[in-house]
Amino acid sequence: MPCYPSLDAVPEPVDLAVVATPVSAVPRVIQDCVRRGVRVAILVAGGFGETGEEGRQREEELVRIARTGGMRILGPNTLGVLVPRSGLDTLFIVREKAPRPGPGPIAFISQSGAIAVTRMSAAAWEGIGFHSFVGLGNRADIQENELLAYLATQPGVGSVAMYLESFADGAGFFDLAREVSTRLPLSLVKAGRSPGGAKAASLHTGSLSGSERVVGGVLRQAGVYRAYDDEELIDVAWAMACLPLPRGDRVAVVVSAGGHGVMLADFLEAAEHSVGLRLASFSERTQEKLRREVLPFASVANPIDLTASATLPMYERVLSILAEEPSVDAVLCSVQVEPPGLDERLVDVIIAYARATAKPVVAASIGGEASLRVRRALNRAGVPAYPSLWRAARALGAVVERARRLHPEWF
Amino acid sequence: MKLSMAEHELKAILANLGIKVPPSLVLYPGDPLPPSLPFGYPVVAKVSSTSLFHKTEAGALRLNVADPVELAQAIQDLRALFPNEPLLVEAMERPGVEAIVGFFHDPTFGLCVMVGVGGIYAELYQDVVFRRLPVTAGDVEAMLNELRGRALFEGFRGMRASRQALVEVVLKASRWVQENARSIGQMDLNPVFVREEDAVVIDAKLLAREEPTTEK
Repeated sequence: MPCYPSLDAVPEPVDLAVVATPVSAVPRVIQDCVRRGVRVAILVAGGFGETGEEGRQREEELVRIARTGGMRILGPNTLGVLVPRSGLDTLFIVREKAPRPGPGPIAFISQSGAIAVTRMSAAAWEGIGFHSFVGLGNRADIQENELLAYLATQPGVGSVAMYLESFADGAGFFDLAREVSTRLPLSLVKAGRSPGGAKAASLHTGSLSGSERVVGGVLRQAGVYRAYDDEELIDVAWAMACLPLPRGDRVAVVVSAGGHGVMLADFLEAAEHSVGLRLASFSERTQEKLRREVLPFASVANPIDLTASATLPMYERVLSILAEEPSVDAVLCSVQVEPPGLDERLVDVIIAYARATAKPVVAASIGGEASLRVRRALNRAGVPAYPSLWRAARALGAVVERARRLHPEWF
Repeated sequence: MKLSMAEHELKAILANLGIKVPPSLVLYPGDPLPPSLPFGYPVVAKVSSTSLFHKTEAGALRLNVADPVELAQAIQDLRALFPNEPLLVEAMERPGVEAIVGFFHDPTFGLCVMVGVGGIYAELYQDVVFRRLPVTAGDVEAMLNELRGRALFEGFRGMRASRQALVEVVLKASRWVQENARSIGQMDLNPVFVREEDAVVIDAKLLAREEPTTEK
């Protein structure tokens, strides 16, 4: 890689500058950038607004200089930008420590670089792809609303996940998100939920309206899925990016392990710790058809338990019966390859089914390396697959919630 | 801190907006009690003042006043305690499902509305839901659906409540608060009695905005 002593020494035009100098050198570099017609500068250095008033003034000064040349600033104090499809990768964490995800539909905007890079590495491991990641840093110039508006125009974006500790412009975010969320799934972690800024209020309304609770109501009003941690954020963003909208909330559960079926049924519709979906009740005719496909002791009521005697053809035929069954809006599958009659070719059966049906299919696969391979293959094929039953149920719940909001007439 | 206006003044505004409030009579200091009331007994007698936040605790409220003799006594007692404040005599409304409707400025999102389970248990259950203004009827319906106590507003144990009437109260009050967002800091309508055929605001409080901001 060629190196130059300064920007002025670079022979070609420069579009993007990643400024990785100490704080003291940043203003001079920004001036160089403006002179060279750089369009965006990513400022890695910390030591600006996050340190207090003086740092904030230094930050404002940088933005002022940048504006004179029409240049935009990302950061300062940002991990950078990642665009897997084009290979643009300005993250200063080396790949060996933080493997990057491949191309995919999730656009990730994060106010924390560490949250994003760790979560993307975890997702990369699972075979989940990203459209882009942008670390906001101190948001001296570019903030989330502008990025969201841009991402909403990009064809490759299937879902936008956001980690924010504060809103740069809450009212503006609300207006934008309410409009964008009708065509693009949005999910958001608003961290920093402990009671902030106690208000000097004495009416009931004042004492009941902590900002934390207001955020919940306002995000719902704007059609934004509210996640409570980074794991849930990406789980849900992934499912919403991959899956068609279900036409209702009735779920068929297919397992080869009875216990998985019992727990998934709980997670769908129990009174506590469930996502509030329903187990589909199959028609007599469908139960009859199912009975012909499974062993006599298997359950053909929902959840369908194929038992440890499950085989690939059994899965294939049972799934195709469910595709026809009008009482089923979505399928939740536990994909375990431990039973003697099953192997990793089960993945192909699930993928072929998911591609052939208009109903969303979500998978859970739990265990060691084999289940990791299963999840990777499913995720890479666009079938969301999770390493826990709860996470699978929760992801499906998010997709149903979105369908309910966009198409109340289906419910 | 003082309320922006006394209860009877705020209720007059609400009534003008088409929001139901109890039939009432205001007695300023020195006003005699009229020989008869334009509404029936039992009635409520209370102090309508900008300096009282919690009437019950201050002894400024007399409920279930049954007849003219009791009313004369109640007025006399309240005047002894609050000689310079107006008194409000209201018809004692039939109970309903109690709701709270509130308005305030959220530092992040601006003007917001709160709807929830009201009355004396509002603070205990904290069963309230928020939206940014403006809201549509659909928004308010969604808010009611999100309450843990939503069954209360759908008819619970023979108590019937008109969700529609409550939604109307929220919409009418919301419009007024939005039009006056520069001066209104917070408003409580609590409780609102939601009954089979209507919703009536039993108590209402308004706080002025502390510091005018540039917020839209």
